[in-house]
Amino acid sequence: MIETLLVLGVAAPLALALVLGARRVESERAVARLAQGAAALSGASSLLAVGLWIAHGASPLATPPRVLFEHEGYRFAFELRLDGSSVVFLVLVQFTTGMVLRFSRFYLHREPGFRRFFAIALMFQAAMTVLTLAGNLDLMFAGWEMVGLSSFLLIAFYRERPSAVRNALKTYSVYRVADMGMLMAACLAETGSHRVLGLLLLLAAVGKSAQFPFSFWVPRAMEGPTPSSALFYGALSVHAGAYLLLRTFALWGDVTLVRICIGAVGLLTAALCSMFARVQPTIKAQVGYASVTQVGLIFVELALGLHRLALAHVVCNALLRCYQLLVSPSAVAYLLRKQASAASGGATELRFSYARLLPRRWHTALYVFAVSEGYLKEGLKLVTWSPLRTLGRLILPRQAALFAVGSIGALAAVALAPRSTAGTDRVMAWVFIALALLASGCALSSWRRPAYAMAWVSGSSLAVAAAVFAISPAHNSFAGITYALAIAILCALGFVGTAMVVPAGKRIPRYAGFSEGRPLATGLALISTLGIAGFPLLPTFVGEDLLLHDTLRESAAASAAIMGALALNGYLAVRTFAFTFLGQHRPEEAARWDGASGVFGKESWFDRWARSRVA
Amino acid sequence: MSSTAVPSPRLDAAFDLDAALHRIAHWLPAQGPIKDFVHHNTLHAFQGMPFHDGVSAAARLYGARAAMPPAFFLEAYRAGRIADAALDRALAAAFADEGARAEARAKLVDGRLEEPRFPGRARQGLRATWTRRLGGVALHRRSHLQLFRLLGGYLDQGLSTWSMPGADRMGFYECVAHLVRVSRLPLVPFETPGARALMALPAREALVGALARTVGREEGYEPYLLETLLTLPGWAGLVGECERNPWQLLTPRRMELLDLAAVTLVAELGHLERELGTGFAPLGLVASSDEATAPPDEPPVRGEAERLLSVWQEAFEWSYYAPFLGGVRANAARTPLPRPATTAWAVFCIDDRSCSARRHLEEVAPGVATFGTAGFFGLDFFYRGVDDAIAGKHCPAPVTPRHLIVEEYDLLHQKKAARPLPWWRRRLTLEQHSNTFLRGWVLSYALGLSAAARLFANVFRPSLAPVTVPPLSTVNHDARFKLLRDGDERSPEGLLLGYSSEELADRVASVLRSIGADRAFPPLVVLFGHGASSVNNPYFAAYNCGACSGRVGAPNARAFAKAANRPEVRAALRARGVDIPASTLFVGAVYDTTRDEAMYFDLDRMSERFHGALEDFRRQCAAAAARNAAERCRRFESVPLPVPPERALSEVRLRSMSLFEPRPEYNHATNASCVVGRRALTEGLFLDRRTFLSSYEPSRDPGGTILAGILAAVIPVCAGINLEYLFSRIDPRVYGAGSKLPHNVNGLLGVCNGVEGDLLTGLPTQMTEIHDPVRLLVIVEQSPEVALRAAAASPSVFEFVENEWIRYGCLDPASNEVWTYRGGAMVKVDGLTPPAFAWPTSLDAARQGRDNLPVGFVGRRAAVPAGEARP
Repeated sequence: MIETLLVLGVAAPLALALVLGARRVESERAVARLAQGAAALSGASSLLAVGLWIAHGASPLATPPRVLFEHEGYRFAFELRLDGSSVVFLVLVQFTTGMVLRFSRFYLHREPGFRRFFAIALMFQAAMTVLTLAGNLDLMFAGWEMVGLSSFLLIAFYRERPSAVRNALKTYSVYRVADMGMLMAACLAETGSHRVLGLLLLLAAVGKSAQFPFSFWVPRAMEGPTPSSALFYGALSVHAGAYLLLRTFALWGDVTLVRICIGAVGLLTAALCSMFARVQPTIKAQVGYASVTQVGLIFVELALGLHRLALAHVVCNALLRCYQLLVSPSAVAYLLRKQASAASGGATELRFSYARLLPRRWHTALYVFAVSEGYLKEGLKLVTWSPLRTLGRLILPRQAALFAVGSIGALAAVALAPRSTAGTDRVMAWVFIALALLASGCALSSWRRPAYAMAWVSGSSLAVAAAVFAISPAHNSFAGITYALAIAILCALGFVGTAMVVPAGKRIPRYAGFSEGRPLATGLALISTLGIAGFPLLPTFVGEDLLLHDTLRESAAASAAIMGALALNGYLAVRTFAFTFLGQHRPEEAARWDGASGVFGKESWFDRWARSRVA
Repeated sequence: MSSTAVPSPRLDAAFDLDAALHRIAHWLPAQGPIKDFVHHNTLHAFQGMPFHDGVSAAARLYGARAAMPPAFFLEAYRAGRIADAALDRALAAAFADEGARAEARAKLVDGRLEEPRFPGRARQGLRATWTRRLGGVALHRRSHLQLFRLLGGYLDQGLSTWSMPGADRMGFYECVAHLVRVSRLPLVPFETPGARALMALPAREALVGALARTVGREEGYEPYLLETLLTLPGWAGLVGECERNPWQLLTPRRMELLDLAAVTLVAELGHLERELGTGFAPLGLVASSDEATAPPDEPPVRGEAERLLSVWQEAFEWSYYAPFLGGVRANAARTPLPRPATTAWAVFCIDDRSCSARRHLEEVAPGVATFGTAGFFGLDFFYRGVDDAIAGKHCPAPVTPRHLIVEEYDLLHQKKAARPLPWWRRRLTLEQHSNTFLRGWVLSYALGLSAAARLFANVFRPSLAPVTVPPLSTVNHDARFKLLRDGDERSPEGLLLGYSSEELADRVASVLRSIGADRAFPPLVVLFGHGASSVNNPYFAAYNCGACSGRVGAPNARAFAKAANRPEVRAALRARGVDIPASTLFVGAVYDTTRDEAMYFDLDRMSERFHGALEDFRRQCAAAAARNAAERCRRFESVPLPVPPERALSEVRLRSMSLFEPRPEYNHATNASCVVGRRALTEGLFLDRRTFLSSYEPSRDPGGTILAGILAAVIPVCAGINLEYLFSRIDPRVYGAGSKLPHNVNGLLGVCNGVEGDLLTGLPTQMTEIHDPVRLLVIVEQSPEVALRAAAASPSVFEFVENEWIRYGCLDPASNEVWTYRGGAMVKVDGLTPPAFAWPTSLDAARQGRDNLPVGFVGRRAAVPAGEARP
């Protein structure tokens, strides 16, 4: 009974999200009614389940695992676990989404994209419910991924604004890092050492909860409608990392190193972000950083083993920040009024609080440090993005040649290597992995030609599948075939969708906004993008999981590399989609780029050849 | 620091920085801090050109639309909202040749018109061309976030907890330079050698140095600077406004456009150096072919599409004007019905929202006569309420008052004022304490659940409790203000503390005379200032009285009533020929346009013999307010129709208290016309809340001097409102503020999108979505000669008329003919027809759906039998 209710709590919003996403329901009233009905149904059934659970004595309850997919020792099971912390978080999730959806019903009245908003918000509700209740890490990862994608879609809600899309991508790239940690942890859940698991989970939590060194994305993510910012970055999604740690305490609680790391990260984040919050001139950035500060403290509490305190902190902080963001437009009237009445006859002096304890000459340094957000973004850019860009500059003019050489090498390896010994398989696998990474690199640098980028992404994904073929024993290649087939179809869809708006070989400006008036192409590309990014309802999700699981038994390093390639491909697909379809469409700008020479210099013979084909 | 090639600034060169900045400031939007949101012509800078030319020039400069898209007009045409006759008229005016006219008409009606697009100078000028050649280094994209954070941090009016060190002593540039110099940590992007070297110089030298280094060619400096500042029009405009009117800032800052330009240019130089190394060649020197650099002073050469869209625009406007003029003319010609004895006068603001409030009041209470005058009631002053930190301006924007009115508690209530708010009455959720480390820790536990309760309560049962704060500069019942000045008292700023009785008498007399209400006084004269109460709305000032610079008109109404009741003022008035009998009482009041309720001031001080009359009036006014709410509700899509007055009243009150309501009211949306004349012209005419109504008695003003005075107040205010709505509607992204939903409050100065967006100017779409973009039609009740003379009396007023930023016309009371201003002269308008519609009451009219309604007769004077005519 409880299980049915809980499943209903997930299924109702998810089903309606899909309906709203796919069907053109024009009437605002109908959309609002349906969405609220689904949300209410989800909330009511969840609360009823909680009530029953309490009536049954409130002892931890796990539903019998329902195996959705099983293969050669890999098992994807739907199992829910109800205990004190998940019940509290579930109630929080249902309450805030319910409130915010009702709030949004009026707030978003007449907004273009009303239906889209509710579809995504319902998807988020389902995802959060899954994440809350999941009884295993695989299932939790499904919710985790959907939270990330719905986040991306809502930050980029105003898709004609480049800054919104840019920041959505920024957030998604951090989420992708978190996904890597989470996915790896899910694969290792049964076999891995607690130390490794703990650190992986920490990586996942740090990205999702915007802890050090990723904190900078939270204020930048405040681009969507206020209720969505409140729901995601005030209330729920920013606390998902903390909840993950709370939930998996049994996996890492016994390793002191992990606890020290979690505590240190939390403390550092709290110290830094409280400082950043103080200098932000915009209200949403201030509340965002304040929220992250408190999440940092929650990490500290978790590291100390103070579960109840941490859980209470999660609930209170989520509710407070959500409310603060929802009423943030009131700040002007309230603060002006307060200043006036507090001083009665003169504006208040702005304080420079505890910094007064420091010598004067440090004030400026402290201020500069806080205003620069601790150089977090700069630093991360230096270690991650800049090398990639350099690589891209190297690759772009020679991408075809490089890839041809790589492919020939791979073919040679396949043809020449004797079939029997495991060692050569591993060599072959590495060749394919290198090929996959190379193709990802090409995709990275060829964003100006979106159709090519899609082709590169599919090439990379197929190479990953090939690597799995090579590495796992021949009879076990089911995963590879499933994945390869799914990804090939999805990539083809993506290529077609992209090529429908931008013929292959033509260049686009960044954030070209081709979704304007092209629903079919956009829909195809979006489905393909979601698939490549591993959206839980599409076969690639299980495929990814399975691939990693298969290879992990053979080689941890190869598995890590494959996961890197998968995560990168997911990000690249989303990025290509964003660059091509989101943003404001300006025909004159598009015309300027079409056929012009690119950022990185000369075009290659391959480009010329491709252009001649197009012409 | 390396000794890289930073050219020494050449201040003696031909480039005149001050003159250039002065010219550039002209093209930037003039929008002050959001707490003082004053409606003004968005394209004020182009007002020297004829309307269509000015709009086109602006479109080219800012990258905006020059008109509504063709699809909009086509749809209006197909729906009958553009009349064929109006289209013919507009075509005839635009094309002399018969063949060309037919061809143009075919193009318009077939939908073959391509919308002209302008990328704007920031996107397609020298700067864009040069930076694009660098391989897509989007300079503004890189520098904006840091720049806006510094600007916001410096100008912040109380949002952030740490203020920028030295902001209270230094100018913006100096302050940033100080940070760069003194800080031991690098401030990106000022840490590159070139940028650092420049930041060691004063602002002027740094700016010229940065220009020399970046642009290299002197003739490129000014266009480059203009285009750079046009990438951040919101901030640049605000800075220019703060430079002109520093008193607008609650927390004083020394801010100049020069500072902003210097910091911006140096920051961009820093980014260039980061990207290209220190040895890059100045952008302007590599250039081969340049885009246009001409200043936007000249009217542009308009393409065919643009000219055709102007035709659409004119046709669209005339489709509204013609029935409106016909209605007013027919109404003026009707003989007035006998009316019962006048029991009271109600004087409202000219605001278009009063248009319906007055109509309902007259319908409910035939004994009440209503008047309209600019809502500051002729009293221009700075006002500081007991709760205000600084004084606000309570008069139309162009006027600079010389008087200050201070509200003070009397001895009885003094104690309350002295103390700051106790913590339990403060909204800690809105304060910054919860954002810090330790206090935030404690507060997040303490406030979390109560926040949930508040959210729950407001989502399901909105009430005034959670975040409502009284708007700034309102009137407190238990406080008094000093209106009469003793001798020559002045405030520290040199403002006169109140008025002398002679000054008051002058102002009262001139207002009463101008509206034709200076004789035969009834027992009661009620003056309604107006304001709006809403929650969760940073645009609260835009909802208030435009004639009071975005503030609540309550102090003005209260002051006027006080003045007119004072015996010494009445004595002085008698000397001026205005004899107010002792049996007449003036009452100040404020009308809340969102909640549809009225509040009356100083009732405890009035003599008992007025109680009965006042009670009657209040009852009638409350009934009228409910009906007014019902009429307003038809515009709110979320309110199901029909809606009876009682329910309408609770609907509108709920809206004013709901956190989730981005449209507490539609303020001036749909405003379209203005009538300056006797109420007889418009009484009994359903004008659908689209008309500003200013009372004026033409028979007493043969020379037009009173009219000139009225126009000087009415036209800038109404045209400002109208044009701001017009342009925000035409291009919500460039001229308007886009959707209100993602807005983020920045420094209490304005709103922006996300954290790296520029400050937004203009109005959000939630305020303008139902607005029909037509220019204001001002009709005065006078002969064409006098009307023209009165308009031409003030050059700033006449500019609107002459360049057709508003349409101007008159109804000659002698001949009952309508004349409009066209091409330098008043031209008689023929072919006007009386309205085809009539409804027994305004409520019946308001039942006709949600769109704009045609002009029709209404009420007692409806000639056509009730219910027969439906649009």
